Amino acid sequence: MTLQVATANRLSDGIVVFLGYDGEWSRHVDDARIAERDDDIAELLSEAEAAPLVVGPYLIKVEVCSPEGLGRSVRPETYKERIRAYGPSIHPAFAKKMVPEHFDPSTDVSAVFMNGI
Amino acid sequence: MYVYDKFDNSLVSDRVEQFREQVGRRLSGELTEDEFKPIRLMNGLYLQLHAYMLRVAIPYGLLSSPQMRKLAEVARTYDRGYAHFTTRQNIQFNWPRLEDTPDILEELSSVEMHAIQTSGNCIRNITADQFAGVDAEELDDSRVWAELIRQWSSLHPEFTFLPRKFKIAVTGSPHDRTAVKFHDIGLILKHDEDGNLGFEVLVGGGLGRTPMIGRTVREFLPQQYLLSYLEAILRVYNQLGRRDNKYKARIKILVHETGIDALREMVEEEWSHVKEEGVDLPFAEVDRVRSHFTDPTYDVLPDHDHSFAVKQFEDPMFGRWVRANLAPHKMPGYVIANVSLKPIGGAPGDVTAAQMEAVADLADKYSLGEIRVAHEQNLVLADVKMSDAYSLWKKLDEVQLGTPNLGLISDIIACPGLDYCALANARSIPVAQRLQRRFADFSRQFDIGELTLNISGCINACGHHHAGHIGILGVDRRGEEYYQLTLGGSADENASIGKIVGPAFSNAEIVDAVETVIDTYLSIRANGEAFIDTYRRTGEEPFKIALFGEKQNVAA
Repeated sequence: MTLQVATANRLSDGIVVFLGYDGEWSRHVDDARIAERDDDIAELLSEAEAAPLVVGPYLIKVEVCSPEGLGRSVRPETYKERIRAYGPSIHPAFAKKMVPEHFDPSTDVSAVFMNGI
Repeated sequence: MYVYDKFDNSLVSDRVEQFREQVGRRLSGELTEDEFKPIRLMNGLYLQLHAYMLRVAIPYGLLSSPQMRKLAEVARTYDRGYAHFTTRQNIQFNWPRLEDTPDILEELSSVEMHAIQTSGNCIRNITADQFAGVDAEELDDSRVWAELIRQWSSLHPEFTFLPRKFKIAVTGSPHDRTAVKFHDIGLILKHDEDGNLGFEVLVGGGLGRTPMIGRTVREFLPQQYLLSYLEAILRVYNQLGRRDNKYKARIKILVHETGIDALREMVEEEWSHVKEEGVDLPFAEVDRVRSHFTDPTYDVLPDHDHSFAVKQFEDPMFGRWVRANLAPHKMPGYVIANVSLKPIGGAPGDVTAAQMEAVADLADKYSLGEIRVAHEQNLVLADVKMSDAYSLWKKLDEVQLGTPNLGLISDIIACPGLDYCALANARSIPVAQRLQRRFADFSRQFDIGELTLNISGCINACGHHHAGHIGILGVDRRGEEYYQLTLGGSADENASIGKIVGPAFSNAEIVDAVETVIDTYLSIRANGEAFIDTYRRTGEEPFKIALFGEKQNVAA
């Protein structure tokens, strides 16, 4: 079974966003609307493609972590999409605020601040 | 330094206003992304993984201190307080907002800077020697020729839509610092038998997925024919370069498929016509441009400075910095100071706004107000008095710019990689940081000696991995980051392409693998033999055995 969400970059500043249940684009992958059935997936994509204020929308595969837990956590399948969702891995200051534990930016490296900032 | 005339100024400011209107139409929805994308790319604005990226041209790597301060101001006002020097002497801002970009470009135009031709299938920024004008060995100042080529190639209507991007380098020194043999066209200044100045012209060099060393298309081109000859090469390429396949569209593929002799014939035939068209410049115009690059008034100084020698003895870190980072200057009592942008654990090529301002101030105080950018992602203060070197280093060190590692293993070239780049398959910067930490000990670095270690996050090779003595290429293997090792590359006048050794290493293994290569070198090198010379003497075998023998043992 494949779970998918729609992502894009926001037109005004290029920031990574995900299409949410409310039809708004959120910076947080956890807010993303998840589609599972083929027709829902197709509808998600066509909705994303019709949105005016984002660039290059596409679908990515995700897993849902701890569905029984307190909060839902959505994990993109590939590391490239995880870096896109939570990164960059080298600038914690500029990474998303709610980086889940399952984003381990470094099998890896203890992320550092560059050049003293 | 070249100063814009009224045509340059109006060209750049007209372009800013045009782009401002285009951005407005995009934001209002009047232009679609498909319509807007080629427009923004022509103005250096890419859309990367996390944000837009603005690449600003630094013609042949030369900056004035006011320009550096303006870049700092842009980083602080419109970006996140830092910027990144690239492997082509340019600078990138990683987080600009689309709606701010016209204002950024307007700010830059006030100091004669722009982002034109930093993207797209056109002639890109011309590479020149970062030691131009101050190197005792050079035959002529490569900046003069790079500036002439810049003017000729800027918005050249015939060459705005080439089959693919096009990169030109000029070197005036017998020791090549420009990677001249890895450019689409490489120009090596030389004298003919009668002492006339001209160029050896190379064509078809490049990195990327098909690395090639440039071939000589003309042994000697008299200087007065530079532009007509370039125009002839570009015309042949423009007609015959493959537009059907992006991966076969660079001129290196044309050279490879056509053969250098057949290509030479076509270029010479085309040149016989172009030469008559009046493209070439009169000597007076060359002299006018040359007058912007004349020597400053140097003080008459002794060859040696007592305090310079004493400080190296008293302060060993300064001694190391002198050994690694200073190069001889053509004038007695002066040195060329390389400023490393590779602090241990930093992101190669990144600088903060405060660091940029500090460098601008230090350039004003100690180096005639000029800064050069090297393609190795470092800076150069080219005119420093020996007697000022210690004060300069102390102040650089205060802002983490005093690392004594130029040309050593921690002076790593790295592309932005998957932390920023939409094309990347794997991250580069974290690997560079881990390697820098593994080899952080300066005694060890100096013992290893001269070594280039280059990392690219994908096959496009922005991190010049094929040209590194040790190269690392990030690949995606079944959704995981893996790293392919290459050995034996070199970007200087003895250019060579690194050879892949064995299967790729995982993210967890790659640093150990590099250390194995280094330990192997240390155990087999002859006295005083640099890594690349050992590799050329022994070939890959001892390194392969060390790497994969060990791996088999681990697996067993």
